[in-house]
Amino acid sequence: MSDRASWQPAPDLDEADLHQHLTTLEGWRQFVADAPRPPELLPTVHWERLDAVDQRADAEARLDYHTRLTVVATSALRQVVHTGRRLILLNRHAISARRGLIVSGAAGTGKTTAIAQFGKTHELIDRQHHPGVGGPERIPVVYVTVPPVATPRMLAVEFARFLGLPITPKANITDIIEAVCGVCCDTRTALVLVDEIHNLQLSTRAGAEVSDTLKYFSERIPATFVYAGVDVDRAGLFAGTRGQQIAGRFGLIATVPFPYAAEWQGLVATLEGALRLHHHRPGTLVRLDRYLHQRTGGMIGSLSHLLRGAAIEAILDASEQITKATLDGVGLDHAAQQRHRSRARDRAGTAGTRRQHQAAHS
Amino acid sequence: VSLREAPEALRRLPIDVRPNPAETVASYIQRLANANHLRSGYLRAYLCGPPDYHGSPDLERLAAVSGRPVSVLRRALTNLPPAPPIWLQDVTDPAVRAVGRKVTSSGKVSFANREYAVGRDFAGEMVQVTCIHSVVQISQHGKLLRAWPRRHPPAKDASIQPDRSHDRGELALDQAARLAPLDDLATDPRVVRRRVDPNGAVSFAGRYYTAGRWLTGHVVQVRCVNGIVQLILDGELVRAWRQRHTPEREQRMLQRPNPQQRTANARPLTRRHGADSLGQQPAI
Repeated sequence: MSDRASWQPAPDLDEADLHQHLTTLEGWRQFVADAPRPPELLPTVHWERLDAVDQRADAEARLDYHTRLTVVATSALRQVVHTGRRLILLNRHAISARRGLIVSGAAGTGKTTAIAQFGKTHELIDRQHHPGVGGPERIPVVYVTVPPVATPRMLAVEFARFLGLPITPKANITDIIEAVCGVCCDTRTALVLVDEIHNLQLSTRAGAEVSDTLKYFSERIPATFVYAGVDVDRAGLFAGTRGQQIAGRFGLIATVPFPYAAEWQGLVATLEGALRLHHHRPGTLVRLDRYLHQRTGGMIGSLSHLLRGAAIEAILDASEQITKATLDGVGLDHAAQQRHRSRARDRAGTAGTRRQHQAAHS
Repeated sequence: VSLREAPEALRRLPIDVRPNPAETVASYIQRLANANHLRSGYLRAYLCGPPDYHGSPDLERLAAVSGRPVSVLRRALTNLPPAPPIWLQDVTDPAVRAVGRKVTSSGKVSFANREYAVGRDFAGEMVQVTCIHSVVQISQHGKLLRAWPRRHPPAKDASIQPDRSHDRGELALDQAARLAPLDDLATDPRVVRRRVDPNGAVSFAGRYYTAGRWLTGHVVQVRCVNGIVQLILDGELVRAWRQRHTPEREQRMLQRPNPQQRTANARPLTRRHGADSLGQQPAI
């Protein structure tokens, strides 16, 4: 391969790909602009009269719709958005020691969704406040993830990669940071979202240096920083001198599994209302809310995966409805499966103990 | 495929910079780097491309990072390397060993020092000529037009050269019309009028372009599109030349038309100044 032929312009990503590239400016803008409209569900009589080609097209559109993640305004998401907006306003005139926010919780509790929706909300508000000043002149939100075994240079490259700044093997960290901070200041960046912050280990030297780099970014860029990671309070992010400094500036919002309560039932009802299946009876999933809670352990990510998987299965096998048998056929993530099995064992053990007690008494 | 050989995805820089007319490449890269808080030497090296990041900036890389098409950069920036001769692309297919020829006004093409007739209908157009199994085949856009028995000795095959009219910068009319269609002729503000001088040439942006002696005295429309200078008479393309003038000279000409241009614009377009059907004053 010749040198000239060894590069190519960035390919045009279709929407599906762009959803997976939040860490690039183009992907983020596509995510912000994306407002998927659910496909129209034809009346069953009309749908059954469609010929095979039209039915296949209808099924394909509904399959594509169900592969997307339906966002539900949960209490945690609302709290992140409201707290974050308040912090942005508080930091508007701060010249140093800006306040930040940390979203912490177990995997699958919707941390990334929450901060991404917060970023989307802020960018849409910014666009409303500055109409006509679109495109590259304003980059109100920056979204990066902390790479595993991160070094300061890797983190700086992540920022540069989001912005589209060119990085060559010869680039030094000083130049990269200078360019990132300059561009962020010029483009009025007001919110920096840092995901996967649990990859940052303050107990190691590299982790401490990455933490210092993040702090340097927060001093240079007049923006509100929001971190998200898995159980960061227990992972040692607030330990030591650096940790105390972070703890003194950042508020913590914990995302926890949903308890079996009214909000869970509302969540199930919302997700069921978003389904596009021809023979599905409304209320079926609401009646199975306890089963769904036991299967998913109250994790919104697992619930979304379970329902979308069941919907796709129902379209593929042409049953067009979700039943308990359909849900049983959809495998979940390992953590949810483990929780479900352990609870089943606990229930079986409790029932066995009761039977033994009853037998002894009799 | 090693990492070094893996395709590099070029992305647009976050802050947009518009190239100024007649700006040098170095100046544009400098402004682009300053706007994006990069060192100009760093950006220049990046534009040179892997593996060495050294040499002269690649125009297509510059187009990718600036978010502007190559044609726009070519129009705006000076001291760029010359454009590749795109009109030669049709005649460089090694599989069929064909060469391009422009059909003369008498409807013939020259091939290995012999003339082969194509037809007057194709005068001024580009055709492909190949010699296979002692038969000279003349085709256009993949369609066979004529076939003749070989008239040249076989030893001449090795020395057959591509069409020499390209060396002078002239383009075949069909190629010129394809590369720069005349659809927007009526609304194109870049069109100027010129009277063909006694030598059969017109002056355009400080350069002379040949129209042909048979057009002497006619007023023709002249414009430069996509690096091609088109000479148009009564809505029909009569000659096309590769651009020899500089973009800034053309821009200056369009901004400040000379008295001859103003006079020509003020008069109706006529085929010959003495044969005006309305009996008005001769043009110019």
